[in-house]
Amino acid sequence: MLKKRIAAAALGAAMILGTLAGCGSTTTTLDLENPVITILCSQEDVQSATPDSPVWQALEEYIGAKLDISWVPASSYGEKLTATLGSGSYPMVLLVDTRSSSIIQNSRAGTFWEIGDKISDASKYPNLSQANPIILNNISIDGKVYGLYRARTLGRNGVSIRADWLKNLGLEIPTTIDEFYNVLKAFKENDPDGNGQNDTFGMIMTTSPTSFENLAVWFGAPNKYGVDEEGNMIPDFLTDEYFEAMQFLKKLYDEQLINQDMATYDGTKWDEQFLTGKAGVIIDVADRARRLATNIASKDPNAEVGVFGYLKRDANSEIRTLPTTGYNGYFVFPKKALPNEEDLEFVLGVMDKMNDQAAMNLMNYGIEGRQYEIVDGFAEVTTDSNLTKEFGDLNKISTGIVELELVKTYANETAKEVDRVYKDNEQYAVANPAEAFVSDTYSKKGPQLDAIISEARTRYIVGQIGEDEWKAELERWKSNGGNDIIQEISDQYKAINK
Amino acid sequence: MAKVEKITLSPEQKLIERKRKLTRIKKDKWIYLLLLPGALFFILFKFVPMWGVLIAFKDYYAGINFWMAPWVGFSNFTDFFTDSDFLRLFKNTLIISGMNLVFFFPLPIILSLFLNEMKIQWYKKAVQTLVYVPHFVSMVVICSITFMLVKTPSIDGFTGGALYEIMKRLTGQSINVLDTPSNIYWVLLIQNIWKETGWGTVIFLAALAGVDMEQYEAAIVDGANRWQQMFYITFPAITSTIITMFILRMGAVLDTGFEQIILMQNDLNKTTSETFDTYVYNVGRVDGNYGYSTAVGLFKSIISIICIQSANFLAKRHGQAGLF
Repeated sequence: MLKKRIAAAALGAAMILGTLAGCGSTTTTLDLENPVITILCSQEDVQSATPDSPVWQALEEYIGAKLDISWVPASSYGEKLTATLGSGSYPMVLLVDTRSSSIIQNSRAGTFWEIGDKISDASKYPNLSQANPIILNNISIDGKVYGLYRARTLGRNGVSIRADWLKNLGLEIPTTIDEFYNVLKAFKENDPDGNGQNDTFGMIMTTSPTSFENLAVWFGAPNKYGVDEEGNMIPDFLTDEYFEAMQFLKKLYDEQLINQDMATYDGTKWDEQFLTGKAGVIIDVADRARRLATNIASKDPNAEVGVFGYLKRDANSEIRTLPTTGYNGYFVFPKKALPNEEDLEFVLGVMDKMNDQAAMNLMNYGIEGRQYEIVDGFAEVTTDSNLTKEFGDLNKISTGIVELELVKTYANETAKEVDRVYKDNEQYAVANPAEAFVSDTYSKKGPQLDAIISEARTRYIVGQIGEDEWKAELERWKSNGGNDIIQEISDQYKAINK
Repeated sequence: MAKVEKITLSPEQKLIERKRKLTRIKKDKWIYLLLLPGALFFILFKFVPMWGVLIAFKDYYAGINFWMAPWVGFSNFTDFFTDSDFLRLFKNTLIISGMNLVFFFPLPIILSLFLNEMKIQWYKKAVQTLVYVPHFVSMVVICSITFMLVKTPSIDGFTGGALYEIMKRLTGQSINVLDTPSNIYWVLLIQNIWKETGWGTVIFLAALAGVDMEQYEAAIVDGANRWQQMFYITFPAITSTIITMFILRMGAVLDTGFEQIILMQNDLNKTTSETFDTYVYNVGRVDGNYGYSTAVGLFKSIISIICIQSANFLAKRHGQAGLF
């Protein structure tokens, strides 16, 4: 009987404790004697590195601290970030992927260390002090820098094209919109693969807006924001050029030069139809061409992948390219996890060391002799996935503020071409004058407002709505907060450009 | 229903009553202990968090102390009601759950009536098990299957999904299931029917098991055929269960199933597929606009309470037991 009672009581107690245990939340702080740095970062590789990997351990040894990284799949990172902020349990290093309203409000409220002045000290941080002031300005909030950006090349956008199809048809790489149209038409109608069947089309479009954004800039639309005669900022989609780019895409859609399922075609399957020889053009980042060239070789040995950076509106117009923001997210340092200035300086020191060439080689290529060899000054990295997974995703915590000197061996001509396109694009980049401005309305309702535009644009291209409805959607955007955004951004612009 | 006469007890009788209750509790103390974790669960995870709805009246963002956020009164609500999305959300939510109520709700009842008529036991058991299976298939899988079946070809002349091709050969038209706004309602409904009809029979079959067999025997003697037995004995026997299920269903009338919709949503059908649930997710979880999305969620809860109360009231009024 007694035994029974004890068992029942224990069961009850265990259940109560079990429910209570779910409520705790803690923020670990730094122990400078035996430092462990906690990091929340997004995950993009198939397999991320784990603490038992030799590369991970070599990196820890080099930077002089243990790493405790929580990898979150990139697709749900925004959600995880908001939840982390809400839980009050912070990592020491936190990746911010988009500048949402909670990030901006938290920055202003002093949740994160302001590091702008600290990292300019070249004696303490020889690498971080080399940060690009334009990109620092882009990530600043009210002129204050709260993070270290993950550098990305500015001229990254470009077009991948089946060069062998062009040759078969006697065409050149297009330079103007009209030539581009003719190429797409020929890819559909003139049997570019020479198999006697009408089984190809021009360009693959996906739910990703990148293709369209590039086209709009080539047509002459501003990069996100332009300035009108009165000095007010206007968003790109209110310009005529933007609408002309939409009309152009509509024409491509109606003539079946682009895939008809673009509204549901997922970005992760972008390469599929290109690699199977069904379509010949992708407008996205130029490095996609490098990947396509590598992957298509096994499927079709005759295939050649070309790459180019831009189209001109017509032969005489100026060259315009859409640059990236120069960064892909940035790391902030929550004060709760790093309460003292020494803690912060230690972590910044570690981030500085991660910009040393030796550390960057580890994060990008693994260990020399294990994952890569240096051949003629280039890194030849193994393709064995059992070895590459040892440094999987480690470069996602690298800021790359200092440029990586060791370059991978060019696997093919295309890879070399991609680097040329990067440099070429940079000269013609159209800057976004509003990049650093913070609109309170946008940070609150931005994603919903953006959705109005992207939704209406897709519906116009596939013919679900006409020009009048497109205009009506623009009005809806304005009345739902768009007018406030224009006002807020214009005020900041005018305050600077008096 | 007859009114129960209130009996007045003398103080001594009251004392005896109380003692009796205490002895009962004492006798069943282990059963009460078993109740404890369940009760604690509801207090901790359902009642305590409820004070969080106060966020709906604040300008709150993740990362600050709750009390630091300024009070903003009803401004989150007025923002929502005046938003151009409001009518669209309301309409979509009502259509999606209305269609579920009209087309999906009766199906498990009909199916369990038919199952009940099966006389070969092993066959009945086998069918029952088979129709439960889809319930255990994840919504993600069902949505992927839907995509594969109905996807349109990239370009005319390419092959689309199997179902798309069949419909095309039968009707001569190419039907774009995923992109046409009005089709999404039917897609959601059919997915629901496929997944949940079988599982929904569980509760009705349990009710059917309790029907007195003598009634059937009497009916057979009176010359009632199978259909008549079903309509005059079986169906009335489960009416109260149906009413209870209906009232519960009304409480969830604005719950449209978040996962399913977010998976099937795209730019071309968003006008018809955005509902309160997906909106709260997009605005609250993704954009971090807690106050606003809590206001939307609270509004949804209030509508649900009104729905469940009025369904309960109507049921009682028409002589049914109701829920409370």
